[in-house]
Amino acid sequence: MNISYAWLKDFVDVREAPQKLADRLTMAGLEVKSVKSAGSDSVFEIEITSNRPDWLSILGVAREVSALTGGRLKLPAIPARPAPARGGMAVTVNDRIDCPFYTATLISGVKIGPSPDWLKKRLEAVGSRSINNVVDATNYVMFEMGTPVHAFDRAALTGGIVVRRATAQEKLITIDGEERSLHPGVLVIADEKRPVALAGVIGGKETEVSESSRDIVLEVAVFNQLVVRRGRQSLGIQTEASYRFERGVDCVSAEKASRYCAEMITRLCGGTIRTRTVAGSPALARKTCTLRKERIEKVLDIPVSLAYSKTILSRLGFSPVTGSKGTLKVGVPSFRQDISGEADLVEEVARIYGFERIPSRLPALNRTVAAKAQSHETISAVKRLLAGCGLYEIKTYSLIDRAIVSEFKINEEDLLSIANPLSIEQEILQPSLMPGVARCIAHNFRQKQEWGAVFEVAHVFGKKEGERNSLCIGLAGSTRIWAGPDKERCEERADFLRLKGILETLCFKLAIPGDMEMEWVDSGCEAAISIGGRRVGRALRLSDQAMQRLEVKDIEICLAELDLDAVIALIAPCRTFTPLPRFPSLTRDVTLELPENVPLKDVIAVFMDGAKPLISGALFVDYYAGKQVPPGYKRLTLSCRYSSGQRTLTEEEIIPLHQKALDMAGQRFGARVP
Amino acid sequence: MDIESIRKEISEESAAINSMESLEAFRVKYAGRKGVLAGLTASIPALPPDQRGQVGRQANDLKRLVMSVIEEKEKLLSSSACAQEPAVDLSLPGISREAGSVHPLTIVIDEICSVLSKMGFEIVAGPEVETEYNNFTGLNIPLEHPSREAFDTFYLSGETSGSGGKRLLRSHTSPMQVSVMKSRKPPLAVVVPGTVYRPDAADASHSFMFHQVEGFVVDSDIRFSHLKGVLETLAHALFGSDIKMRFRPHFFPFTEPSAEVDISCFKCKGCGCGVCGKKGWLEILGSGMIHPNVFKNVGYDPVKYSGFAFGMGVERIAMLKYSIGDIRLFYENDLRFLKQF
Repeated sequence: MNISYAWLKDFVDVREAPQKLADRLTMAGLEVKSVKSAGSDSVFEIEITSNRPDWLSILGVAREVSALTGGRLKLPAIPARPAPARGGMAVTVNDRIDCPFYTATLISGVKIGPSPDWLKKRLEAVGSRSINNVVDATNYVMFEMGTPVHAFDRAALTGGIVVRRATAQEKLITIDGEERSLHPGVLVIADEKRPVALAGVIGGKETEVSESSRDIVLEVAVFNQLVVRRGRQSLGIQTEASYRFERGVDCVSAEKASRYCAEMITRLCGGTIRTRTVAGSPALARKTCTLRKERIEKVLDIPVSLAYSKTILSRLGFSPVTGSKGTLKVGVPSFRQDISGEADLVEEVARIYGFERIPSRLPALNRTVAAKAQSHETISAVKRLLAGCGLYEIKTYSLIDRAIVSEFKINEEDLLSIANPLSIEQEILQPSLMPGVARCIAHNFRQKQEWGAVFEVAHVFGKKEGERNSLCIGLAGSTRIWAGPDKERCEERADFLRLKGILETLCFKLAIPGDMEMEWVDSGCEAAISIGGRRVGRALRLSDQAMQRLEVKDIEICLAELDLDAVIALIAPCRTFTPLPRFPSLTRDVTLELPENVPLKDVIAVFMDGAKPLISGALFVDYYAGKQVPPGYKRLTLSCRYSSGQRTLTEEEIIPLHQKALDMAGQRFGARVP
Repeated sequence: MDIESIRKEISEESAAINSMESLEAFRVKYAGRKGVLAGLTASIPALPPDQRGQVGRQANDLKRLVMSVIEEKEKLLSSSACAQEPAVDLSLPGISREAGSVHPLTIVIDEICSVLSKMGFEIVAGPEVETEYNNFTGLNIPLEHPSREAFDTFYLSGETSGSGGKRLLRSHTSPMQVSVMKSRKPPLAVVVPGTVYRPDAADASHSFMFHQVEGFVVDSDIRFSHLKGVLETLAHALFGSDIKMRFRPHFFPFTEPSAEVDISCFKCKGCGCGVCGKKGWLEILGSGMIHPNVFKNVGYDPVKYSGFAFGMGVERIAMLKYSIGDIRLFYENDLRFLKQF
């Protein structure tokens, strides 16, 4: 909203220069976005909060300036109420809730012409265009007092005014020349025959005041906030009038404005005020709130006297009266519909007093420190562990398209969707992080990346399981890591064992007991991930079809996704230290040649079983399936550790156990020592 | 053997030492347990008493000579041993496993939460799918009011309304005020980081999905001055101790009084520049004293208790801190962007 400094001075004595005044207004809650000079005047562009429609007028801002600076407020002179007369415009209001107050003033014999320069300049300063003297007067009053006013050409109206809802098929040509179909149910001003204006929003072309008009009907009314909102939304327009009605125009101010504007028109354009018809009542139940001194002190922490509060509130238009000890009984003016209780009065005092004068203290926050790490801290730890493993955290959009979801074998019936998405690409609440992570990887590879190691932690959504935390890790492509001059670079590539390595590190560092295991569900393509026997997630190799959809090819992309809430729940409260062995252990390495489909864990299990009770570990050393190995076979090298808690073992003790294990491996798998 | 011939031998042989091995052989021969000097010392008791003193002293001299030869040769040999291998060019790239990093938004969120946690706040997370009640009604935002336009929302489809009204994606983190206060009794000091959603058309400074951090404190004697104290401490920790702050009266349906908090632009120090749009101030927080209606809605006695709440947009703060010009970079996740943090 634009406010003219010169116009403001009509209503309040101002000593401050424009910029200084602008700063004071900003610090009182009227944020002045800019101060521009307009000839000898200055124009403030103010952002008005939606709870203060009374600031959408010069008078409202003037009141504020008076309260802030102490400058004298000069209220406009409102002419006396006209005597009730017969023969005025007939006004019918169908629903008092739609329109609680309506005035129609008949002015006859006006001479339409251009407005005087001072009026044109003022309208220009606040961003409005001059049309003719009558229309300009209506706009002038709206900007000055905050109440929208509309003028009809009496000759263009047939019969009296009816304030009613539009019916289906009704149309209206608005003052911008466009013919509009009216939604049934929007509020219109109509005459006997047809709608002539969209109530509170915009007037009709056929009844607008033009050069040929002689008699005019001046409408000053209050329309229901919601009804006006729906009306302007249905046409897709917003006007100065609708903006004010939506936020609230009060009847008392409207009634005064109808007298003020009628008088102004006769002054500017000639003519005589004939009659004024009023429907509804401008009287509102007077609201009173109690303000206690102790409340101001308690909430704001400032020693403000009741006398001071009384002065401030009076200047703002309230009627404060000293009540019983330490209180003020404050009458609320009609234009302050935003005041609902003591808290609002406290704010009025505070903002005029100045927030910057309120001291700054630290509260004593009683807080118990939780014994167990809170979820946020744990998730932070998870993120930093993964970063330490060389992964980069990404954040992708949580709303995705149905098409990509179908590539990840997700039950479509479980999906939650948005009723009003911005686009079809953002319709589904992600049931999994995999699509987003895959998309991100594809995007990066299109930017010529060759290696991608990323992770994401975010919420996923589903009808059955609800909303929960998920962790997704993505690896793609390969890279060769520099290892020094003349040394062979070591290769890092995306595959399931690499995923497994990251997950093993994560579980160990988080102190999650139990083994992290991966098992093929669809050999080579999908594996189930479990910890300590509990299923916590899955790993997936992106199919060619999915890659085609993502517009990438010839890269290996592997993803793993875990139910993070489930994983975190497995974290042990505290790690237990395993004492270092007191006696040195004996190690026997063994290389076995065996069929390639025998899993490592089975071989280890056999050794641990066969060489009981002295074997303390059978550790994987190497894997070889090269030239010397017959097809269908592989060689595994294990390092078997033998130890006792009570003594140093001798070779003689372990040889038979070791042999027993070897024999078992031979029997079970056909393993032999090459 | 006589002292002089031993001394001569030591002198000749030390000149011939040219490797660690020959040095070791020399050491063993002269200074070892069964070496020459040990033998010499062992022979002293067999000598006539008047010779013992002198021989003893001479033996000690020889021992000192041998040790100094060994020390000197050791030094010489070890430095030249290094010099024999060609040294690597230290301006070659270091060998390392590339370390990853967390997302810049995570860095900012964690920093904010860490400062507040140190002040006594508890960090709590909440759901992104919320009810109309928690997102609006409970926060004193009536469903039909122009202020609601600032809170346009994504609604979930195909659902029957539950007791809390329709389900939606939360448009701010404030719903957690309602949830937390309903499930606990004061005093409390809570910070809620979270993802929020608004159907805004995407451009360089708007994204339909973004992050906020919310904080609120409720107790029997919480004042506006406490709100100022906490936010000043937070802003100084995030932006430096020399920034200035101002609290501007504003309007939020769920706080009264309400304030927007600006910090002096840390780029131009308040003179006006491209970052702060020539104003010299950057708006970073919304805040206020919790509205009595909100307390009534959650079952707290507004006479007994008071509290304050504040909220900030994480992307905005990250963009200011790191001089990032386009919000969409956070969600494109280009590795060339992520690797800078």
